[in-house]
Amino acid sequence: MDFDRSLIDEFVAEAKEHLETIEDDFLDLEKQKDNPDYTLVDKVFRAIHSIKGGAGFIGLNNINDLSHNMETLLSMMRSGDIKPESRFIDTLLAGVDLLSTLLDDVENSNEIDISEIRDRLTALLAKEISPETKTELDTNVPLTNGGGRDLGFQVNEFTLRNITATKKYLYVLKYDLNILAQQQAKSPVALIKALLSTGEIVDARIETSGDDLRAGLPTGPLLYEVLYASIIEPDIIQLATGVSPDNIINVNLAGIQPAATARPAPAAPEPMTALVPLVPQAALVSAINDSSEKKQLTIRDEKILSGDVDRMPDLDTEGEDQEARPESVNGDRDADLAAAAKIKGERPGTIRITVDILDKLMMLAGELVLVRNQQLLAVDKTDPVARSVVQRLDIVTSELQESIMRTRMQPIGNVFGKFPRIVRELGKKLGKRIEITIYGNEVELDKTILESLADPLTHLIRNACDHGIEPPDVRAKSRKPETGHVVLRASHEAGQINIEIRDDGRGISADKVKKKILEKKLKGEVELAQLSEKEILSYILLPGFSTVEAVSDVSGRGVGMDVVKSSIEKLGGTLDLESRPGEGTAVLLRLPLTLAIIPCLIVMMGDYRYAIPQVNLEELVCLYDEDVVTKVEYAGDKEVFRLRDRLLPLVRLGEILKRPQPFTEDIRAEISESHRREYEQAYQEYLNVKKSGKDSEVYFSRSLNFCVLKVGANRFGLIIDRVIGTEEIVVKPMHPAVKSLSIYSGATVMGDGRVALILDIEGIAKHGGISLEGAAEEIIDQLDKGAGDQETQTVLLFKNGPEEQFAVALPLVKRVERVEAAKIERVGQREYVTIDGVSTLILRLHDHLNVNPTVEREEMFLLLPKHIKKPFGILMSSIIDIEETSIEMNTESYMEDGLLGTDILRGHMTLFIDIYRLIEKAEPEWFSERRLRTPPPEQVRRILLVEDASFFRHLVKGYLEADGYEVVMAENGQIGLDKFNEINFDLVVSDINMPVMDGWEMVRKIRSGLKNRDVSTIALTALDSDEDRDKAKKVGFNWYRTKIDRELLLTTVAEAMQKV
Amino acid sequence: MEAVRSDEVFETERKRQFCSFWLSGRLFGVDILDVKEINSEITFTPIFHASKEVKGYVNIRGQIHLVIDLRLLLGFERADDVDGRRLIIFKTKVGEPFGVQVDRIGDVVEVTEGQIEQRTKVDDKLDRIVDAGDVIEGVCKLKDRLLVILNAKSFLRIIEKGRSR
Repeated sequence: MDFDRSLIDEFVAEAKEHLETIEDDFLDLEKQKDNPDYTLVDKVFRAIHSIKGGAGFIGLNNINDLSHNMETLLSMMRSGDIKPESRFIDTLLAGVDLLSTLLDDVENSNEIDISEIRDRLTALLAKEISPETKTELDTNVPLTNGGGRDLGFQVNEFTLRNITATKKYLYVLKYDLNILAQQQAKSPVALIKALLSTGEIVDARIETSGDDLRAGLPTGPLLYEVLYASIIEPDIIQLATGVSPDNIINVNLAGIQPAATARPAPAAPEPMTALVPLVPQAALVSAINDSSEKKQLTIRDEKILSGDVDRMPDLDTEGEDQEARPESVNGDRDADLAAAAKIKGERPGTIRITVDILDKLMMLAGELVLVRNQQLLAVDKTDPVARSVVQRLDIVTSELQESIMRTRMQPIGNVFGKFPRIVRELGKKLGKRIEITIYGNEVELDKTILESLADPLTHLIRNACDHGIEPPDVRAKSRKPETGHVVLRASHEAGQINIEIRDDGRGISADKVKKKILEKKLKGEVELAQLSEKEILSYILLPGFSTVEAVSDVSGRGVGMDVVKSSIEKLGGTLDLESRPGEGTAVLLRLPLTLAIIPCLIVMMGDYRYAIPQVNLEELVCLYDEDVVTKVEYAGDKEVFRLRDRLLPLVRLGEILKRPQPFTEDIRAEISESHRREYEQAYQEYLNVKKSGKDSEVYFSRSLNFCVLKVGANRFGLIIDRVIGTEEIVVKPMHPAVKSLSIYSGATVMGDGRVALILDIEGIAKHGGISLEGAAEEIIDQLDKGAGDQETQTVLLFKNGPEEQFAVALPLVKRVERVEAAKIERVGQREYVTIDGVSTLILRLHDHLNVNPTVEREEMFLLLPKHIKKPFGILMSSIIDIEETSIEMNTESYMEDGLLGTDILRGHMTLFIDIYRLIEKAEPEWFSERRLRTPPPEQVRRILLVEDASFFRHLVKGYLEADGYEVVMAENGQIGLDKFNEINFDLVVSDINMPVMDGWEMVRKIRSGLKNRDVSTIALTALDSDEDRDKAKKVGFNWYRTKIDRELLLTTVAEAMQKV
Repeated sequence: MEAVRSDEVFETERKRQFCSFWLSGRLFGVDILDVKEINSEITFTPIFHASKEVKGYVNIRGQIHLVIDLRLLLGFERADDVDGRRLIIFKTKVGEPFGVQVDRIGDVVEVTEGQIEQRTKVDDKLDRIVDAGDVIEGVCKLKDRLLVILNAKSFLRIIEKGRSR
């Protein structure tokens, strides 16, 4: 096609813009059904219409043809003859799809077969159209000017009727596009737009001069004739369109004759009109490119005939040159259009390049990164000139790499965009009502990833609609809204893309999956009992898991899920499944932004370097000296490390590399045992030397490095020799001959030219026998559930005097009230303020602690503690903040009655106040009642306090000791149990959620043990549900108390002691 | 050999060139059209878990190549102490970038097709060592010694098969 490339590009861009919104509009229209929004119909009609206009203009016959058919259907909708019913919308949507396809490949669009959709459209038309309309459609009306001369446009009666119903006048406007472009810098697309704003283009055609060029003529005319319907009256049409009167022909509407009558004979010659024989519109359009058709054109204008047959009149849009210039004929269209393009060339430039070139660029950028890395190593860092050059090279390379990567980035909306359609169609097919909400269309990711994402995502969406969402009646029965909802959400997170597909359907029942697992003999019952729900759900990702038989009982999600999973994994992503029966299912995908260059941590193992993808990396831990022996523990056959109260299984990279066979329990045991023995031996030797005192300078000098890595929700520590640093590396795939090795994901060339292997963390976890959803998971779960049980505490930081910073644990605070100083009332020595209509006693910290007096302000704050029955508050002059922090309570540097201890928070020494003790000091009689009712026992009683959070441990211990009990503390159930078996206790107070062994388990063991099995037990926990209360009773707790009501706890303790 | 048909006469006179090399005192050769280059690189990155014949990865001008220890592949004993070992790097038409490590490079040997005996057995001693299927393409009697012609395309196949074994 020799048409100016930029013109086509402009058309395509414009057409795509139209199509972008059209789908939604169609869907909206369908919803409105009986009462369609006619402005919307109009909008859609115009969109298709302008595509048709543009396509016809540049000779894209297929696009023109297709949009013409769609337009006809739409025009019937516009006239109200048909309603936007589903079957029409279906076909129209299919048409939109095809249009998009054609637009994607305009060069070859004319070769693509569009007959199927076109036939569907015409079939619909044929069916819908009354015979009367049909005749109208089949009947062409030759249009004539006032003088009865044929204007060469072919319009059928139907169109004409529709047009003339709304638009009073019909004109033929003639433009020379070249002049338009040169003198007004107006592109054809802009022209069409302008025309559409005041009327309607019924038909249009374009003609250029013939093939024989006459050299020397400055411009070649590019005649564009528009059959234009408008409400603009004849006397102002010239003004409105800017076309000279000579180039406007009023179509004689009154003189419309049936087609059956013979075509009128050529009338008297009239200036500036050309007559063209009736040819089908498509043919007319294609005439631009097809010179043979061009030759059919007969120019009948006598004036022109007097010149050259092939010569066409030059049209003047400006109206300044009113005289005809019949000699101005030139076919040098390309040059002219190029010139025209130059004039209008303001729009931002886009070019199309093949992906191959991008890939090549990407590869070269990768190589450049390598060269840069090598250069960084090679350069003499002391030479300032060389250093600055290298720095610049460094910066330029990074930017180049980023820019090239950006060229490949595309918004995910490109893929998401088609889902509303898919959901709609599925909903219809399945007889369900489904809505989809999409978030994060703008999130960008690498083209390759995006493309390979389309299919898995479609599959997941289908699954959600097909198997997830229930039919409306089922939903209604389970008291859900009849319309099911699918949410598709994309977001960025630390160099990764998260995509979530969530439905509110029936969910997957783990029990049913279990049944299936048993049926298929994938696992025995005993094994199954040990699996977490998540692990069980993950079975449906196995190939063929639920494809074999009727799938409805597990909602059939196994169909092809393995394919989805493997294709996501191929992209370096992960797939997670969450589901609650009755509530819905969510599939979570995590994907890398790009595949080619990834940031990695480079580590050393033996003599070789390995790269660990940064996405898997959580943190680095280094243990020194004695810690190497004392901090690494052994749980079963595994080495574990307690990282912030979480047990982290450790895997030794050296052992992984040494053993090509996946680890079995025996192998793991052998490994842990050998390392333990080796450590203990070395440690013993060191202790012996130390004990002997021979060498006071002896050190146990060792270190142990490990990376905390995550795979999905799992974490483990990978022990390595040492860490080198982070680097951006170019990933090269593994050689096919070694691709099956699961512990590597690729290789890269390092700065020094050596090859380093990239570790596949998931593969290593599997090889090392880290259970997919193993122990680590459980512990994390516990931590998540028992937010109050974590080592970190949320504390309220505040000031009273000008100096001291105070803190109180948030769980002890009911709320904070603003108080105005003026409203504080004094009664004797006491101060009160009215809060919620209750006089509340104010406690000033400096009255009871040795601290600076309150800074008096107009507005201050009152802290109202929890679990205090009497109205009472602690005055604060200002609130600093709420902070989540781990507390290490120090009771040695400064201690006073009424304080729990001190800690350094935000760089300041902070006093933790003991609210209960302060109240007791201020109002001793408040609590005497309890003491009287349930006095603490006279002889010293011993209590075992099991609590993992050191803050609470110390808090509760303080309470208990204040009442004269002896307290022994334990950090978890296991330690508690050990102590319980060692010493005699009168009472056990235990938290529930704890690492290693929880409170349930511990009490169960106590009750089933031999020693002191009837001891009184109190559960002290942040869990507060009936379920938990029942469970507590079942496993054998005597009392259940929530954290942390001191009075209630102490009363309970006293009661328990009475029983002893 | 049986009677030679006329169209095979031409075939037998076609010349072929082999890149010859030494392994454990024996002369082997691969078709020179399969060979991209000879390289003296000796720093390899071992790939643990791969079969023992895989020597590791080597970087040759920015491209990562897999290196196979041909001694081990053919069943000879390991000989890491041999000096002057070389890599024969093959063209990509033979397989994804890879090369084999040999003891010493010999001359380019030109023989006619007729001189090559198409057989997969050589002599008892070698047969006992080389058990890998189609690795031997033929044998060619030179003036003073035997040249065993190897099929370069079979090397990667053996590695891949070895992994499933």
